[in-house]
Amino acid sequence: MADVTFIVDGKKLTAPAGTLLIDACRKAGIEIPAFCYYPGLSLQAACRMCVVRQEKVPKLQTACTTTVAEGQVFVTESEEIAQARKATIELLLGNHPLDCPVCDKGGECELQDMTFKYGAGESLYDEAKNHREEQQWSPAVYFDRPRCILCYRCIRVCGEGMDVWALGVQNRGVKSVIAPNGGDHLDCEQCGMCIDICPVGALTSGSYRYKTRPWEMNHVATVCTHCADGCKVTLGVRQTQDGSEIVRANNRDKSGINDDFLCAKGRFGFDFVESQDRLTKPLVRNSEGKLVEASWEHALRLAASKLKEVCDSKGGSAIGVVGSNRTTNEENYLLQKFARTVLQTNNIDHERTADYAAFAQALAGHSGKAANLRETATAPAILLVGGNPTEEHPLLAWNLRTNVRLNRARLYIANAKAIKLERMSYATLRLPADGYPALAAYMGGSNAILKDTTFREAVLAEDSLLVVFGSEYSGSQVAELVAWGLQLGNVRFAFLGGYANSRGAADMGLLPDFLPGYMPVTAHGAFAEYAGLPAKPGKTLAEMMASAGKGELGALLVVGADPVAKLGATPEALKKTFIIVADIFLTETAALADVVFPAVSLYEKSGTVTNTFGDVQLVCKAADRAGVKPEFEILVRLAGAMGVDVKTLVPFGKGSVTADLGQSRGAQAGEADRHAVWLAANNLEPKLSPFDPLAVLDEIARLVPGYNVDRVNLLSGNDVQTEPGLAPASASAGRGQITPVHDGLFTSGTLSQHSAALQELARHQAAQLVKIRMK
Amino acid sequence: MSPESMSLFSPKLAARLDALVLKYPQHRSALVPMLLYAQDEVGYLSDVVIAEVAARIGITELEVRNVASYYSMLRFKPVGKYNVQVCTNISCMLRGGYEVYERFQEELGIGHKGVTADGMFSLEEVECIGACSWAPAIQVNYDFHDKLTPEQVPEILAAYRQANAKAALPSLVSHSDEVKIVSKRFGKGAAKIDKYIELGGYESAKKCLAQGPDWIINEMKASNLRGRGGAGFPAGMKWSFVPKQSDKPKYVLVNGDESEPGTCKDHLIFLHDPHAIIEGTIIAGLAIGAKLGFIYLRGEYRYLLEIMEKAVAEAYAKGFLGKNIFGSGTEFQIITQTGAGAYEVGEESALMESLEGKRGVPRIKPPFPAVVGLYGGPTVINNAETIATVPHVIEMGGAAFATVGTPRNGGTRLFSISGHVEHPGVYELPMGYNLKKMIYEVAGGVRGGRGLKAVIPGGSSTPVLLPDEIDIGMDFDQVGKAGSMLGSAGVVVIDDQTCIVEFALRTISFYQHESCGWCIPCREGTDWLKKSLTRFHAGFGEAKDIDHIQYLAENMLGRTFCPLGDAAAMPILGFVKKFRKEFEDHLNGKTCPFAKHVDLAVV
Repeated sequence: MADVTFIVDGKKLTAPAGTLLIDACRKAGIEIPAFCYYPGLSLQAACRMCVVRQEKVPKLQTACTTTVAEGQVFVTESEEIAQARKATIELLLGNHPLDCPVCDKGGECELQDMTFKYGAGESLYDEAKNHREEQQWSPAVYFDRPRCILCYRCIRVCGEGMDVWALGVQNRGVKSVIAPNGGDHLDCEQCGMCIDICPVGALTSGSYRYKTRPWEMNHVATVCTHCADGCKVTLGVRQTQDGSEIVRANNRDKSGINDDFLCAKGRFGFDFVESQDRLTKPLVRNSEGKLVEASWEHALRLAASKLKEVCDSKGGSAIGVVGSNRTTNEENYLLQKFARTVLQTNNIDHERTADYAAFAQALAGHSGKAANLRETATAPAILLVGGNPTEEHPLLAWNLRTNVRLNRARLYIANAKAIKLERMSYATLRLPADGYPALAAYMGGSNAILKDTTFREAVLAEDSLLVVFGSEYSGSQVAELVAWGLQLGNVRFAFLGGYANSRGAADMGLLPDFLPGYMPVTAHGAFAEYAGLPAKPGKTLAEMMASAGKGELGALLVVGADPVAKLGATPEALKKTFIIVADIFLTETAALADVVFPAVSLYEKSGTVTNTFGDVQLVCKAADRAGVKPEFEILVRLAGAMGVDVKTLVPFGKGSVTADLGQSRGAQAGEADRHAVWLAANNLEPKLSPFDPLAVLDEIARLVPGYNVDRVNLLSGNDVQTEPGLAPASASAGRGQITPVHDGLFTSGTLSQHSAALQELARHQAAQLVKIRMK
Repeated sequence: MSPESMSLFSPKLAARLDALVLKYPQHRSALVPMLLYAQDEVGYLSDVVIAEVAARIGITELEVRNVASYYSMLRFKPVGKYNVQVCTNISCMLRGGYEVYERFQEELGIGHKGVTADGMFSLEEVECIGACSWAPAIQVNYDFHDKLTPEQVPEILAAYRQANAKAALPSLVSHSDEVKIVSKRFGKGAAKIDKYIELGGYESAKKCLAQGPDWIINEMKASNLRGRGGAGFPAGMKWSFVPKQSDKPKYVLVNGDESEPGTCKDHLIFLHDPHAIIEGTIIAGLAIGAKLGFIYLRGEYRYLLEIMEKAVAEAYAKGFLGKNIFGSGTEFQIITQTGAGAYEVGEESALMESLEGKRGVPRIKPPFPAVVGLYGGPTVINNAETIATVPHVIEMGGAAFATVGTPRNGGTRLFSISGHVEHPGVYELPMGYNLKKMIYEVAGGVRGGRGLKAVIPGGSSTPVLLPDEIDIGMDFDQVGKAGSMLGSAGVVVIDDQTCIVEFALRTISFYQHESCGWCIPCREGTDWLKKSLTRFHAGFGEAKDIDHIQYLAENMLGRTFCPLGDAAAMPILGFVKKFRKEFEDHLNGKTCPFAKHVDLAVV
């Protein structure tokens, strides 16, 4: 719509005609208070807080329903308006319990803030308040009815946002109450969005309630460790006896890639960090064959000497290295660099959840064809092939729903199974169970698997297309589907895989055939600066285990993975292999190991991760505990103990960079902060520690194709996209096994097994299912 | 739906519900009537009833509960075989409603929402049931009994015990000053179509078919007919706002959700002249190009719905409704239904929500119904009296109709006179008729020769007038000038033995009960006012309370989502401002000077 000009508080503003006044004002920095208005959700006009005075209109108008038109004149703050808002708050407080001192929301409550702003300090109310006991609706959600101000945000975010529709409003008048669909409990996806969106303390989190006060926590914005969407999560951290613990996870600042969204895993699945099962001391197998606690010194020396011995005696081909889907890019990069330059081997792999190598190969040479995650919320047409994003990629599902709801995007779904997102779809194609490989041919015009052409015709009629597909495809099938898409012209692709840094593991070269950036091991390219890089493709994970079984693998270094459990290896098969494991739990592999290092979770370290869309984000250290070390430090210390000059691994120290150590900083604190970001962004911050992951990030940006990303944005906490199209086309498509994860709403590989909260939610859901079946 | 054997309802009801779902443009519209009929048979909305209704409509049980819990006639617990509902709202209160209610309590030995041990009777104190001019009135299930005295209570109960109870019909009154236009067929058997035709019925519809939409709208504009629901918006102008071209079907809605305390005029129209409503609906449909009309009655008017249904069936049988009305090739259909107990549904957009099977919460405006209304289509919604007046406007000609009233206030109005007068009743008088004359001559003056204390001129939401303010003409403009509103023309007369604080309390209790709860100022404000006034009237008031009550009402006024907040605040402001002295007389532990129904149990 055409822009119109109107006046707010004497200021001339411009916005497209029909924009809601409240949005236009907020964009212009004029804050209009509101409880019920929430961007992106349906309008209510119920709270009456956003009232403003419009010239020539007799009554105060609600800014959340007034659309702007040419020449309008508004006043948003005046005595009359302040009085109206104050009266509304007085009315709310009349029945509000005012139990702020014990309310979870105290200190970050919108009702408190509004009361502070508009007064209402004197209570005019003498009557008894309408009290109701607090109710537990699920392990995740508690409802404190007297605190509820009936803004209906929870109902809308659950229905419109999540497409779950588990909340409603019942009764009438002052007896109106938010009600769950199960009568006295919630039968839903337990995402906890209703808790986040509640402006007051009416809906509280089972895992956080009555734990602490908001101001007693440090709030650290980092990236969720669970699925491959990479939501920004704010961890509330509090001091403990031996470090600091995470008390809460939510979406506090809403500044991340996920906007308003966070799922159950991100919100409740942080407690594995505090699990009793955590490894906190290094373990070494003693002469009796038992794993016993040891000092870091001893464990490192033992592991280093054994690695060196095998390397020197049998060569790198007798050593295997397995990396992780959840460690940072810097750790993964360092691990492969350590494997290739120190251990002299390409025997490096990880538990692959999707064939990112094939995806990169398919896009090699085609820049600008990879879609970032944010595009899934704006693309006008999306073809979603396979998977079940509602469970496996909750943020992607949220974006697709939002896109359909707010932008009327057309969602095309091709799937062998019925999935919940089909409720939002424009057209659905039901594929035969084995039909995925043939989809590219069908889209290209073949009717071999399906006669119905309407789906194809509808998709082909689109001017642009975002193709989202995933682990149903590997190898040449990926290439075929991408090739079909590329000939459409205006197309972008997204490829779905498993865990928080599955994409980063592949991108960073935890592969036997590829260096970082899918550079073939046979042609080193920019990595030629590594001294003595092996040129022969290494063993895949399965091949390593087979080799161990034959007694040919002298040592196996496993970081954050559990190949024994995944591949079902027997203890006998690994008898002749010296196994070194770094992990946070005693996995099946760790139980067979000779040395075990207690590592840390993604919430206890810094670095970057890459989500499945190729968006890189900064990971910030939140919690800490005595005894454990990040994998990054473990690797550097291991290398050091082997006698390696760690500077060749981690380019720390001043080197040739002339750093500005602050001489030019301005007088104001704010400037100093900006200056620090600028220094870091421009690689000018001196990396004075060999344990500083940012030193490796410099090298990643310099050497890895597609990773020379916008560092100012990255370090400011924003998501920045990589460019897989810059990967070189390779003759080898790569080998190795892909095991898709297909996690559910409450499962997340090993981590969920150690999360009491997620286990409880899973049990609750299972019990609900039984109840429904009994009905 | 599932085969009959799967249903928990009787085969007859199951079949009825099967048909009900298919009657509407959208299945969900059947929800409220379906819940009522299911409740009639099962006694209450049990979990299994809710599950079956949800399945029949194709929505979740949560959605059914959200809607069902909104309407006060729908219940989740069993009641007695005979559910006695005693109105104690203002008109009934003034004429002994509480005394009747107390007698029922004594006779049955139960209180509000109680059920007798034998399951025969249950008792409820209810809000206005639309029988104000025949107060005090009660309903037993759907049967009305009016003009009751406490002494009649035992015989009524006995009659139900012996299963030979007979519902009462409201009585008609007349006065020589009446100008009978809308009421001219009352009491003449015009509910039967042949009689209606004999009395000149359906000629206006035929004339309109011949003349076309523009002509109809011009006649309507010329008539100065203003909306009889209360707002007084010119009907012709409202119809002219409907766009001629529309992608979505257009609709006519007849608002028969008559619920404003003091108002019972539509009650008589539905009872005596249902075909006038049908004819008016057809004409409105012709004017805007709609093919479907809905007549929505309040839930308590079940017996009137049955009369309407019969009349509609007769009109179909004659070919006056259907695919080809009056053989003209034009289509027009009518669907009738009732609500289930909600004053707020009288608000036009809330009524549309209710008709769509949702909670009766009003919609954000704009868009207005004329552009986006029922099912998103352009919709004309008029009060039942307005619609019933339409055939007469056409018959007389718009200009002639206009001359009956005062400038900008065409025609006559059905005044529901109730309270402390000698001859309460519904009188049809020209717009602008003098209020004082209406009370002292038409209605026979204040009952028992007592003094006049106050008059509510247009239903309980209109600000009170003092005796020296009633020498005014009863039209929208003159009453407005006097600081009140003509509203629904429910004139409630209050004598000098009445406690205004108690009257204010009863008034706000109603709005507190009926607030939909959507917006904060109305939901919290009505409740707070009710609580304060309850305490105040019980003798626990403090001087500051009077100012607080006024402050609360002032801060609701104009701030709420829909006019209900104003409807609650305006009368309270009137009482506090005009009777401050009487409020002060309740202070310092003094008992109510008129103490009658002081409830010491504070909320």
